[in-house]
Amino acid sequence: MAQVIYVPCPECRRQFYVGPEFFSIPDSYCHCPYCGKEFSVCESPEASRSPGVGTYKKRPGTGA
Amino acid sequence: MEGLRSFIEAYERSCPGDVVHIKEKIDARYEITALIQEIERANKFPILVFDRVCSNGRKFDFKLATLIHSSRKRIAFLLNTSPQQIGNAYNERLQKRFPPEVVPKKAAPVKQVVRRGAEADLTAFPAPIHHEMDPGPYITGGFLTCYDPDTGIENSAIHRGWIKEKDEVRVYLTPATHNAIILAKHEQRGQDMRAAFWIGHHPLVVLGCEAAIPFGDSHYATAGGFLGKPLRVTPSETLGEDFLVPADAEVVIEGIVPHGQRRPEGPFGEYTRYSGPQKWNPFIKVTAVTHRKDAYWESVPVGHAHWVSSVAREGMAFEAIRRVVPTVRSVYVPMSGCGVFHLYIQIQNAVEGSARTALVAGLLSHYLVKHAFVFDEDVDIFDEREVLHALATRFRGDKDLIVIPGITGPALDPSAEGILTTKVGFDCTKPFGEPFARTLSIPDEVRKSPKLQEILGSLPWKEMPEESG
Repeated sequence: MAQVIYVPCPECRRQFYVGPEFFSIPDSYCHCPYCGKEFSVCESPEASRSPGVGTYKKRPGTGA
Repeated sequence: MEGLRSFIEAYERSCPGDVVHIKEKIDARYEITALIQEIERANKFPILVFDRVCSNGRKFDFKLATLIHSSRKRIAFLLNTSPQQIGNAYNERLQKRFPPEVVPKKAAPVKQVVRRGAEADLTAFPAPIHHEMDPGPYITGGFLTCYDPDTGIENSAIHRGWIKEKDEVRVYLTPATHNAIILAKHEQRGQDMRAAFWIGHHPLVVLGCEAAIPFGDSHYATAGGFLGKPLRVTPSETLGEDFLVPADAEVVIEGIVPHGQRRPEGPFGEYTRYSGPQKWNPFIKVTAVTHRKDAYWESVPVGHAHWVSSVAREGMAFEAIRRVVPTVRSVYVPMSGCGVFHLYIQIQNAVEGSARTALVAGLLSHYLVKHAFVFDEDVDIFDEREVLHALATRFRGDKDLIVIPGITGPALDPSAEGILTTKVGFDCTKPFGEPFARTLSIPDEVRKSPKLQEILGSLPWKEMPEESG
């Protein structure tokens, strides 16, 4: 299935979705499209419980 | 000097009703997309030119043009063909290539205004915020040009770009695209990559640059083939004399993609008609912006009718299929398949195995083609009622299906796993060489009889309710 993970923003609590790379790339962070808050997915524990997390294989150099 | 504005002016003289100027103030935040959606629902696709785009109470100094490629009739007009033969005509143009012509900066309209360094401000342009969950204004009609560090040959392709700051654009270099490969080459060397977005050009240049050509071929050359003469290019302001940008574009954004660095980009409402997820993507630090005086900002209505990718896929598919099935008649990449995922193929089924051969060739003609369907000559592939009828009555799942799992596909397809998908071919032709059921028919002399015409003419057509579904 699609590797889309819903993430609630820790600031405004609105949900948006991110690719799974945010769970595998150290120092990556999300940007809330609603309020502009930048945060690590670790700050949004609901996100890490989503199905599909951790199955992603990083492809170097492609940005994917 | 062929450009977007010269095309719009000439086209308006030829087809005055097909260019609509919106004089009213309109907000770049959702309002433009909402208007496009309503016009699309009415099945109308004129070129729209917005004179007064604003955002947060600020009026932009630039006009916005959109729906340039949203009509197949208009694309057929551009290619001097019929809407049914666009694939064939596209392929013919693609065979002609002209190396670009380098002109001095002073002869380049896109250099009429030059802003370098801190003077460059992307927020001055009326880039729309298209859909909910988009994080901000997006470049959707921009070609990103990069140069291969091994060959020095340019590659140009449409990529989405989020205008995050006045001097920063975050870009989605979709995996498997040539620009992503070029970036990877730079990063393997530990080098930053020079890049330029160019926005607004003659629609034939757009069609030529959208072609999926072999890696290492120049899109500037294919653009010339579509124009019928060399594309005029000129040296960049800040990326070196050897970095050439289209001289007759409306806007050029120059910058550097820092190697090894990524930032969040998206979510973004995509051509799939879903929001694509936020990605950890590269970005461009802007070094200069050049544009024409009173430049047009071209925006592509992503997620709405827009045929650039479709007709490019049709051209590639027609050529790929014709190599192995010379009796291919026509191909169509419909908007119902997001303008890329579905390929309808019409063949004269003259040789046993032709249908399945055409399916395989069509499926492999481009990584974005996910499902291909092949039909006999008596099926109008441009009428989806006929397409679905043939699928319903000529296709059997146990013997007419080709399934190719685990193959590179469209990363933005919500059903894909990463960049992997399953390609499927549907043979909707009648069994080869066997008797088949006869389609319904009525004798011509009855259908065209004066008596029937008289009755038809007397019916209360206007009063009879239309069926909605």
